[in-house]
Amino acid sequence: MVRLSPAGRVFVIAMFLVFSLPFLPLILASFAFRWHWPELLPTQWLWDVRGTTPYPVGWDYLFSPISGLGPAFGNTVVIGIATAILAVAVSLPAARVLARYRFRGKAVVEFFLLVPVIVPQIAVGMGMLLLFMRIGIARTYTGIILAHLVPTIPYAVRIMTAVFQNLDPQYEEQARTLGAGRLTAFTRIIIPMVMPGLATAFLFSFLISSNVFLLTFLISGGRLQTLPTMLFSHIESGAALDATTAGLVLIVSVPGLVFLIIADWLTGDHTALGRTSMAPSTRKNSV
Amino acid sequence: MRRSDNVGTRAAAPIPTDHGGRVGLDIVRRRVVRRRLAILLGLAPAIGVLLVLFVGPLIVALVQSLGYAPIYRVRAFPTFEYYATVLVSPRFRTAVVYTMYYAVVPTIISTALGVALAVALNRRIRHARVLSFFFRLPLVVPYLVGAAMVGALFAGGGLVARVLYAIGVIESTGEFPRILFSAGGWGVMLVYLFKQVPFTFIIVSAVLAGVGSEYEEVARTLGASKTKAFRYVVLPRIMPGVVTSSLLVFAFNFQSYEIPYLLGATFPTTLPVEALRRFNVPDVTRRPEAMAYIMLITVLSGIVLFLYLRAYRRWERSRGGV
Repeated sequence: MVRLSPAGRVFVIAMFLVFSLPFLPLILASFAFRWHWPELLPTQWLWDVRGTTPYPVGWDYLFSPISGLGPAFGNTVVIGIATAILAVAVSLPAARVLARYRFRGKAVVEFFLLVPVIVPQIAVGMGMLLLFMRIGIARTYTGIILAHLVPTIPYAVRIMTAVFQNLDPQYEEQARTLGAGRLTAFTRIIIPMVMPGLATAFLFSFLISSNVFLLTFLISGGRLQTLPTMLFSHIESGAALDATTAGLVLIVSVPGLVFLIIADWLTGDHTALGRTSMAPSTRKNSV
Repeated sequence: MRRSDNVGTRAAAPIPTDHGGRVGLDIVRRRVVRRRLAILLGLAPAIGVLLVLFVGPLIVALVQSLGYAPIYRVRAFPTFEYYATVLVSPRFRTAVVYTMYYAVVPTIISTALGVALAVALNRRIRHARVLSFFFRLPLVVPYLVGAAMVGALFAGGGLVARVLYAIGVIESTGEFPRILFSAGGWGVMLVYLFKQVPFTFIIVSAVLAGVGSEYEEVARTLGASKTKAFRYVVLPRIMPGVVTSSLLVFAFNFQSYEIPYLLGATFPTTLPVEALRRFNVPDVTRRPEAMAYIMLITVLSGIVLFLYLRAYRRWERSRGGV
């Protein structure tokens, strides 16, 4: 392997700092009570004033019922799970067909299943709002979940098509030859074999749903809050180093963080983080 | 029965001819029908859902932009009046310029940085997995998280200004350059970079993993300089990944609403912000204008993406590529 030059190493480390450091000031800010210009660190912390303020501040505020964090978190999780289940259920048969069969118009179908990723969400969202108002599902869970299917299905189809491409169709045929019905072969053979890919598609759909802002914002009309819409209104009205906004940012980042850890674990690299730090020694052992 | 001959030639399975052909052809026919049914039934849910939830809304918007909105007592269909109103307004033209600007600049920068990073990390480097974990972190959080971070760092009283004050570069918040809420749009573009450098890195890394580093090594062994090895050996191989990622990044930036709304100037602003402003005007009879806006956003974005892909295809062909 070509080794990285010193300049290259500096570049990589600089980029690493640029992309991981911005979380630090937000962690500090979330515990700060007083952090005026031009202090580099907060002068008064949350625990210094706990109990002396007329209303809860910072994390105490976020975790108190008045902040609305609980419902927003619950909504995000419920909508995310429902979206992920529906997206996977709808995409699974399509992925199987795209991986197995060649047919006329396949390129068109593949393009159509990808195009929602490229088409401006504001266009889909505004049209959808009018449509949903007509049929009476604007500002409802149903409406938001259906809206979230649009950005999730393309990814779910892609992930699961790759899974089915790696799956030998002969297993299914053998099960059928041995007397399994269509349904039995599917539930007992196909499903267990595509389970890791299915889980990835599910998690990714959940992640997209929990990160979607504009579609939720348009369809919910401010009636149903999710974590992103709550963060939006805090940024809109808050100061730069506001403790509540900072804390909220950290909470909004949790689904993504959990996703990364689970994804690493699912792809079989769950020891990677620990192994890397002692890579030279393990490599010697294995040789 | 006789017509099943035709169908039979399309079947992938061998034609069973046990009882003099008749029954065999029947089986083939049934198999072909079943295959078609399997394809149709498999694709139906996903395509059906997207037809209703994706194409449906676009049609609603299109029809309304052409003057059919009975809920607001607008029944001028078909008319291009709303498109005309939008197209001649100076605000629209300004918004087109700024939307392009906010979309293209971060696309170029994040593609350059993301590719450089992927190429650098394709080599043996300690803690590569830990590093890649942190590079992937911005990817999995909402853009709004990036907006909050850029706000905390680059606001007039933000951390960067404080550090500059501490080391004596500036003496008051007023001397700190206006990064947020300005037409220059650096706040907006920084949020895009925060998310999209890692995105480009991930896609190009995946392509590089498939390519391996052997070609580059051979080129270097044969005496190619670093830049030449990259330009003539590595780059052509990762080009599809670079085009895909930059295309997706551009498409996103072009239609992003919340970032220019939160961190951009009130005026000039981008097309999506203008569109939602028009949507929320009290006079609902003007809503078709907002619909014309979003249709124009969709068409413009489509045109740029199409031209970009066509340019790439030409470049591929000029190289004598496959």
